[in-house]
Amino acid sequence: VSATHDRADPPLDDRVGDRLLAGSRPAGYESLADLLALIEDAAQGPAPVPARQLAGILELGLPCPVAAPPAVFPRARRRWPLRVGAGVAASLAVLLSAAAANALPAPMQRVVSGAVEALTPFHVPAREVPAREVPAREPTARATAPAAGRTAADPPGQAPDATDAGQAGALGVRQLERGDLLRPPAPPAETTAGAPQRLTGGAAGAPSTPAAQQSSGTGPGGARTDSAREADEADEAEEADEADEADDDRDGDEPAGGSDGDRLDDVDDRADDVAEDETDVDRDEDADETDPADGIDDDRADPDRDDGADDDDGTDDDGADDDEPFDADGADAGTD
Amino acid sequence: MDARPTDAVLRAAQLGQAWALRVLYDDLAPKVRGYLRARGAAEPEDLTSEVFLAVFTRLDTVTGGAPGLRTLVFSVAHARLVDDLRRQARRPAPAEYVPDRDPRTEPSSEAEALARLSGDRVRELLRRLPPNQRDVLLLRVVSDLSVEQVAAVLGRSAGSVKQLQRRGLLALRTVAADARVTT
Repeated sequence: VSATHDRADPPLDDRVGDRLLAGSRPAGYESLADLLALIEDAAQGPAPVPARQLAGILELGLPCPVAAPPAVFPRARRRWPLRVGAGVAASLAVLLSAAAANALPAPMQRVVSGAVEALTPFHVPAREVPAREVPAREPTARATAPAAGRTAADPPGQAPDATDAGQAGALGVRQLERGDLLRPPAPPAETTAGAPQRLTGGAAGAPSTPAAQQSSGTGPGGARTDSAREADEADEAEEADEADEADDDRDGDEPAGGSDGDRLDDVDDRADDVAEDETDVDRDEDADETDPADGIDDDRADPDRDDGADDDDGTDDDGADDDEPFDADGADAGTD
Repeated sequence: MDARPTDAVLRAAQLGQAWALRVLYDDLAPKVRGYLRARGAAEPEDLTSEVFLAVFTRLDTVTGGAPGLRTLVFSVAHARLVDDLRRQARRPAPAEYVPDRDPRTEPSSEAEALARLSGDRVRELLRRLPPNQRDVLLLRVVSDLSVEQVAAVLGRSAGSVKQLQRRGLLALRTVAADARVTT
């Protein structure tokens, strides 16, 4: 084979290569030229039969439909408004059902009620925050709101701001009840000192401990409820009756000092009655003129002394004394 | 009607004229099929139709007249060929039985003479060349592209194409000498 191989072929440069590729037959490159011609002839012939889509284009032109890529999720595109609408309708149904059952929060209930009544002939009740019912005999009924402007000189049944008697008053009552369960009554000297404590739900400066609230007659919410006022009036009426009986007993066999429970009750009660006692100083002084042994106030002179009526019901007998100074001072003169 | 793909025919084809598209197809499709067949495409006819479907939808992007169109056609053909060769490498395609291609059969002298001139023979000779040299020679001979056009189709520089062309011709000359000796 090697003997037949033409080792005398001339060198192949670019110029000769271009001539060969152009179809010429340079001398000395005949075999290569024949092979290139064979390759070129292999690519000749009629055009192949086009495919169906291509045949349509060749017959009708380019506007003929060519296989276009399928649309991406056409059904999903059509369905998204339906899904959104269904979601909105379901949300509205739940909202209206809750509003009809008066189960929404109060602000939302008012908004929904107003919207329904404005847009439809139906009536949806608007929730109102009910005032919390407080038992008449509980000490928390004395909650008032000095932070809202009430002073000790205000009438006990009058709130400074009638609008505060709603939710804020209810909040104050709740915290008072919780505090009564957890904390014992604090001494009046500490609670009435006026040191502001950290508040949880009321206005700044309002006492937060139950003892302080009890002594000042305020609640952390800074409002006094109507039920509290009614309870105060009921207490005062009962205290007046019981004080008469207690004073009668005290004239007879009352010991010099009360028990521990009497002392605690006395401390609590005295804080409540400081302001009211001050209003009766003039009357006490009138009584002292007739009886020098009697002090400005009986409870101030002897805080340990109390009557037996407090042991049972915790009512404020001294307060009743203040309300009716004419009989109390005269009766206490003998014991002092 | 001009049967050659001139610039006027190209402009008519860009307007969607069916006759212009037919002229382009009749002139270029045999060359595309020859190129694909010589390079070993599994289904040259089907692949040729795919090439022209792609080209006809991109006619508005052709620049440079008829030579530019030829460059685009063989660029698409080369890309489809590469994809087809990769597909064959991953999964050998089943081929139907053709008695003439069965090496266990004894060919007649007439059939053997025809086979020498057939595409299979050419493809067998070209298979001895490296792929890049084979591509350059086929595009230069079959597609009638210039060095610059071949460089554009293959994504190479013109100097690299010239180097591959020279090496391919030298290898092909050796192949031709061997073929002449063996035959």
